[in-house]
Amino acid sequence: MNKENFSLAYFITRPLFLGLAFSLLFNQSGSDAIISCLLGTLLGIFFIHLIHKMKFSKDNFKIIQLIIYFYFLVLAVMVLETFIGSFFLTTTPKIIIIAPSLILCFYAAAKKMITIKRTTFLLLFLSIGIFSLAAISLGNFFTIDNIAPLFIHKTSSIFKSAFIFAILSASPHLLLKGENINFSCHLKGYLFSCLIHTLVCIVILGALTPNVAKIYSFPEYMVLKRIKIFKFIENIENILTAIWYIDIFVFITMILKRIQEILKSKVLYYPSVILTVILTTYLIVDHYSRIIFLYHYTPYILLILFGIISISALKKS
Amino acid sequence: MKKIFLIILMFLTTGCYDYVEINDLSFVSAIGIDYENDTYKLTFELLNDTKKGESSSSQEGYTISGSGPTISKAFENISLKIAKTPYFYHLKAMVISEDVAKNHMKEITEYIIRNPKIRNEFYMVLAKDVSAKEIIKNSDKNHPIVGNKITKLIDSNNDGYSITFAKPFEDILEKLTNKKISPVVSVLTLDNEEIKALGLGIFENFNYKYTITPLQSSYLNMLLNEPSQFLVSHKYDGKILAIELSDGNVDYEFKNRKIYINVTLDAEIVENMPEFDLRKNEVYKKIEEDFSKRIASDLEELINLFVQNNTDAVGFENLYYKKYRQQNPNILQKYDVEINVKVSINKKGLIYEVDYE
Repeated sequence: MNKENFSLAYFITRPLFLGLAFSLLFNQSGSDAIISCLLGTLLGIFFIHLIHKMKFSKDNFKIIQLIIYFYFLVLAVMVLETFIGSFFLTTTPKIIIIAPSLILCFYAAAKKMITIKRTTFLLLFLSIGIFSLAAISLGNFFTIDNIAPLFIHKTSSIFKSAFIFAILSASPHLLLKGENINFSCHLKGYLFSCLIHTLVCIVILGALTPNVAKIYSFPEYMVLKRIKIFKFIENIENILTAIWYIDIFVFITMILKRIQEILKSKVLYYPSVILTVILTTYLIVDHYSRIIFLYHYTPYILLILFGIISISALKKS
Repeated sequence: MKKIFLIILMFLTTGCYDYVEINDLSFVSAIGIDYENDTYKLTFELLNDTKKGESSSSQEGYTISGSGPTISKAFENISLKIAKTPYFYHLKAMVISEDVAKNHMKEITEYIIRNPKIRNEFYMVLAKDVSAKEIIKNSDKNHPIVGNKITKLIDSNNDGYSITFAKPFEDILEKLTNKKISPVVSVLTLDNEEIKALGLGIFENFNYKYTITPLQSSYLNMLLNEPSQFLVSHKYDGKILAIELSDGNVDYEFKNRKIYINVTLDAEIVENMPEFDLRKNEVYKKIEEDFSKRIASDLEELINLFVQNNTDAVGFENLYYKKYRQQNPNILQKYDVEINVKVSINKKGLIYEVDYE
């Protein structure tokens, strides 16, 4: 049971990094993003500890929880549609991009929690395997000189980035509230995931350089385009991005599971989720100005929501 | 019920909407960009698989040209002439003319890095004294695909005599975005209708400034601590002694408003026309001393060229910044440069001498 909880905690830390966290970190603190990752991990431990201390009485916190879960759903749909629509399916209507993933996540969320956990445990090996392959393949392009020097940005920028890292990695753990996961297992999954994120950050900076990493919307994808194994194996970035897709899949599945538990009635559950996805697609994803708004303000919105729920939950307990 | 559901799901998850049949794709191997009369003139080299008989086929290239007032319009207009969908993921080389390199590098760079359909792993080269179109059209029987020809030319020149910059566009982009080092690109020209490497072109920000000679290009690759191997010759009473230098190691120090460049190189004697007695110890010391002075003098001339043109292809400003974490703009203009070269002859070829009498 512990290994499944560990893998669930690992995956739930990751989804808000694609197109959001890494891009914000590099823009804010350049090569010092590595320091921000380390500081953010420490701050994130504090958030995880807070989440464990919270006592949710479902009746009282339904509305706040629903707001948070639907906001996560909006973010997941936005990131998935933007990423796939930019690189893979450029002419496909966005709603058609999200529909198969949503159907799959509905199916997965209908299963028992133990099934979802076992699935994440199996996917853990795939995720680590793909990451290792990508990291080793990028070894040729990695130069330690590209990362140096450190501590050149303002302290305020480094701390701001650390806060962004912490809130985007820890806030999805609210989805694990209600599972019987012991704190040490939960923390190990979180720390392992943060270690992988830090290594990804180091590899991106070492292979692309801070100046180039800053200009891309998806530096974590662009770095994979550099991979060339034995001079003839190239263009494999589309396969290696499965690692990010798995994270979003687990994230959306957990969101739907939680919404289903609160709404209970299928009459409310399915239409509300489908309506959210449709509204996100047509009102947000189709207007880049709104994507940019969410891109800049998501850490603060999540902090406010996190603050509200933790103050209320801790007060009650 | 589950099986029916899974079959339906399978059809929905195959991503067929954007699918283009491989026969409907036109693989672009090389792109040439010229600029004339306020118009971008593009030349695409497209791959064409032709079948010869039942069992064999060969790959050939053909070119298509198009133009437009902006780079994106030029790409759009040229695509209208191609019966298939252009596919840039196998782009090998992009050739830009001198005018484009001097005045329009920003527009080209912006278009390339913003476009998700172009992979930045191609070689960018500059066409000197010829148009980019002439270079792209220079296919022959031995090299039917110019994109491959350019790639092999750059790789072999880099491995052989280090006069080209064998790094993809992503590396050039890194230098373009880093204001503390001048980007370099390989320069090609046509010599008796054959593509020839001329050396390295030096940029200042996004503007091409000048080209350095092949020997200077080898020196620059050495100063950049790239793997380099090149020939240097010296005359003794009108007779040539040539050595091949390799395994160069360059250290930089910044002290008392001076830049110290310490170079150590291994050398192999490849030509001994002065007929020095290579069985004597003092002969090697003399040759090492003479070549050390010669190379130091050449390097000084190269650095002066950078100073005169306000370029910093070695990236002294970047090196200083990485070491001391302080900005020091125009460091080459402000600091003196002292060059110490140590050549060690570790090979002399298979023979000592030939008795010509």
